[in-house]
Amino acid sequence: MIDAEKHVVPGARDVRDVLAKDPIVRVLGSRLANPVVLGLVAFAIVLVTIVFGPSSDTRFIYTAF
Amino acid sequence: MPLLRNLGLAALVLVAALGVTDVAFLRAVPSPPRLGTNFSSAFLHLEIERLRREEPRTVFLGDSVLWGYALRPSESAPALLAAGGLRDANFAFEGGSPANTYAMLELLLASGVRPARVVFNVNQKTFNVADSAYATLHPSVAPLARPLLRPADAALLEPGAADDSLSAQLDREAGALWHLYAMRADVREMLFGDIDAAHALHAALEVASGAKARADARDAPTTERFEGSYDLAPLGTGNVSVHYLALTVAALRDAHIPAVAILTPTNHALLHPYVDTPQYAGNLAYVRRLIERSGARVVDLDRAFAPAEFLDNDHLTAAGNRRLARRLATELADP
Repeated sequence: MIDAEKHVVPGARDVRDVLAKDPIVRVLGSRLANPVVLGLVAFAIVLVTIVFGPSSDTRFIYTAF
Repeated sequence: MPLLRNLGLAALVLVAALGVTDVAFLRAVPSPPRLGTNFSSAFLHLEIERLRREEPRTVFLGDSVLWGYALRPSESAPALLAAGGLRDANFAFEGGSPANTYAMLELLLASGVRPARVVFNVNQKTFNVADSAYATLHPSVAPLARPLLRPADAALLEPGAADDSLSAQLDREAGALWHLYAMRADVREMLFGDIDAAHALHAALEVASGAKARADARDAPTTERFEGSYDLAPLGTGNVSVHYLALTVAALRDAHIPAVAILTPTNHALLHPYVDTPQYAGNLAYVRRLIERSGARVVDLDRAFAPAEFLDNDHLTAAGNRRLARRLATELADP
């Protein structure tokens, strides 16, 4: 059983505060806030989709999104 | 506003990275020994452009028999001839037929390719109205070649399925601008040896588990399976494949391109009830006369191979392809 009291983030007023103090969210947030990193991540997603996509992707929307 | 600016910058980075990748891809994409099972119009166009820039080669046209069905690309007869020193290019593909051979030839000639010689196979089963490729162009050949056909010739073919949906339009637009996207099917086949990663994994698992061997044994070709594959009605000019074969040999003659037509090896032992008949022999002779009238050379391989050299009704084993390559090497060395 999870003890909710032990998981309270000190000083957090709502879920945004909790996320802001979460270390993973903070690292991801700071990285993705950089437009170059964000663009390269999108590029990697597109490449992986193209290379590993299914052969049935004769539809543009299916492949790209 | 900073959010929008950042997203705009990210989009620019994405487009720039895709652009650089596309340029590098076009320079690096290899030229395989044959077209893939699922080749795209964009890849076909690229291969034709490469062929146009090279010294004239012997060009192979035709169907899966010359393509090298169920074999590795290096095991097909044209690849073996290339390994032996012949400067050739294999533009045969799975699902070929006289109409597709003519469409590919017209596409090559219209693109400025000047073959040193054209070798093509003529398969008796493709004169059958029931054959899937009888009056149908390959979906990746049709967009490039259909506009080159005379309207009266094009009218003999099945109309292509016009897809004007938003998705299809976006697909065409993206493919026109973005080569990697347009050739994604070719990239997957080059990387995985299958139409995509999932199929390659599935095939590997089937081999490892023995399921493929069991399926092959279960699906071994039987005579009954080919009932109806060969139409024994007398051939005439009303047959679409005859019409396109006549166009092919006439185009080769008019372009002064030496041509060799192979009458496709046929497994007579397997197909005995359907092909060992006077009607089949008559149709074979009709095709032979039609080709020879145009001045092309005919290499009759209809009965040239033993049953053990076939995978099924007409596709040759690796050993069969080796013998086909030796036979063609002799024929092509003869001026």
